[in-house]
Amino acid sequence: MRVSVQMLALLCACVVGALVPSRAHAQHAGATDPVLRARALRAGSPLKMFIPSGTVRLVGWDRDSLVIRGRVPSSGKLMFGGSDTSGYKLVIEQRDGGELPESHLLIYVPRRSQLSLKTADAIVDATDVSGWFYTVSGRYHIDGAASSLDVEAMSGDIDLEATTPYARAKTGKGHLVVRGTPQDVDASTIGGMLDIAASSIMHGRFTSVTGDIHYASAIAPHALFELSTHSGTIDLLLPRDVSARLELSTVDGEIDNGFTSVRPAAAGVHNLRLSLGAASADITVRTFKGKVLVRSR
Amino acid sequence: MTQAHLTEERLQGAADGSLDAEQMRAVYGHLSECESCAAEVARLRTVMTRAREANTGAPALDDLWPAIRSRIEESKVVAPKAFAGRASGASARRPWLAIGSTAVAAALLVAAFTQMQRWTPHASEAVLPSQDVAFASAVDSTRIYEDESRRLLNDLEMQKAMMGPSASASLSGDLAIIDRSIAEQKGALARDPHNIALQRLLAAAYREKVDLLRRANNAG
Repeated sequence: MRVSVQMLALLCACVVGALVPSRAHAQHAGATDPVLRARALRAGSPLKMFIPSGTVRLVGWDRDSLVIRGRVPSSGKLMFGGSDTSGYKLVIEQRDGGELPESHLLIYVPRRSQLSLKTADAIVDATDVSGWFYTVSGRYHIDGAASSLDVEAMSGDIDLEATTPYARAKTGKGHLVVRGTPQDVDASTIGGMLDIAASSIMHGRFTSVTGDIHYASAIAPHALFELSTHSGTIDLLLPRDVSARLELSTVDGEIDNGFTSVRPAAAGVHNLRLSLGAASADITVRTFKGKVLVRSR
Repeated sequence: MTQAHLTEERLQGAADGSLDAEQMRAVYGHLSECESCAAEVARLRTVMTRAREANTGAPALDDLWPAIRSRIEESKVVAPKAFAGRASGASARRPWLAIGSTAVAAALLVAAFTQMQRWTPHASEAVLPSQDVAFASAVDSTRIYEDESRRLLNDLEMQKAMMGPSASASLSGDLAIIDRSIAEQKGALARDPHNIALQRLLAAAYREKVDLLRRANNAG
């Protein structure tokens, strides 16, 4: 009987130990230690995070608190900062110059927090969050509602599917996708493909150096678009009843106009001006030696 | 009534119909039981109706957009630093400043006109008078982005040591792509110096280079 009581006490101690992570665990998470951290955070507070590798699921919620759970490997050192509710900092560092620690985290943040997330090659899936997001070669997918989004990658992929008044996205050779319902968009790549499928854009600037740009959506009335590449193709797939004034020019490329039933306002070998419908939107397309395609669907 | 009163946000939402279907069902359920909230929603609706009916003379957002759009169109390229940041109200408050500014502007216009006289129009892409300002702005933009990219390149030398190998390789590859495009565009501009589309492409290429170098500074 005495043995079974001792066993029971030991078992209870183990269970309690596992459920309540100690401060030491939170500060230096090991390979098998789960990360569980929660604290109050005022809405609108800045939140800085550096999570180099692994996967991150970010969710904005309607609570004034921050919850972080998941796992950090032993090669990573988890550090927290911020002593009150006005801001917070989470950093995962690699120990002793080893490999990048692959963390797997689920993070809930107050919806109106201003996030600043930096990764090396992590895959990030975010919903209802706003702020600045950076990666070297990782991937971002952001959806939901945001007050503003600024997403930058050296070579990673970016997929914006959010409802936001302002979005800025830049990558090198990564694939950049703009969808959802943004209003003011500044998107560019260097060699990566840029796909746009959002009919809500009022002001859009889309550029690439050697990557192709594909726009396939309706155009908002009175919208203003500027698309340019050096050698990438610019392909506009527009509704048959689009209302826009198109000004297309290429220095050394060619222009392929699919709206053959509309007489151009001006046409040359390397430039074309078209007024389609009531011509309420303005679309300017420029390439150096890329092809310009305008097609109707 | 079985629950607390609706929040201000819910009351407003019920009055202007901006709640989603699920919220609307919950709110209407509450309103059917709570006279106080129902009266508040009715009061808000009355205020909104009166506000809509009143002719305030303020233009609707749709009416404002064309003017905003034309301002964006005018500022597609960066304004030279010397002209940036001057508030229009300042000159109204200080007449001497307005006179001074006008004199400076006139002098600059004369200088710009003199400069334009030196340009040789090209047969295929002659710059129309209405495009002069836009062309000059594109040239200024190019110069500003070029200066900035040079400064950032100098700063980057310090950062390179902190950069990982993949980031460093990515940066080198992308810089090479942009520099090749800049070289090709400069060559074309040398042959056709007044091509405004070409000048804008060159400004865009330098802008891309500045953006890349700024991103690279974060990669350490």
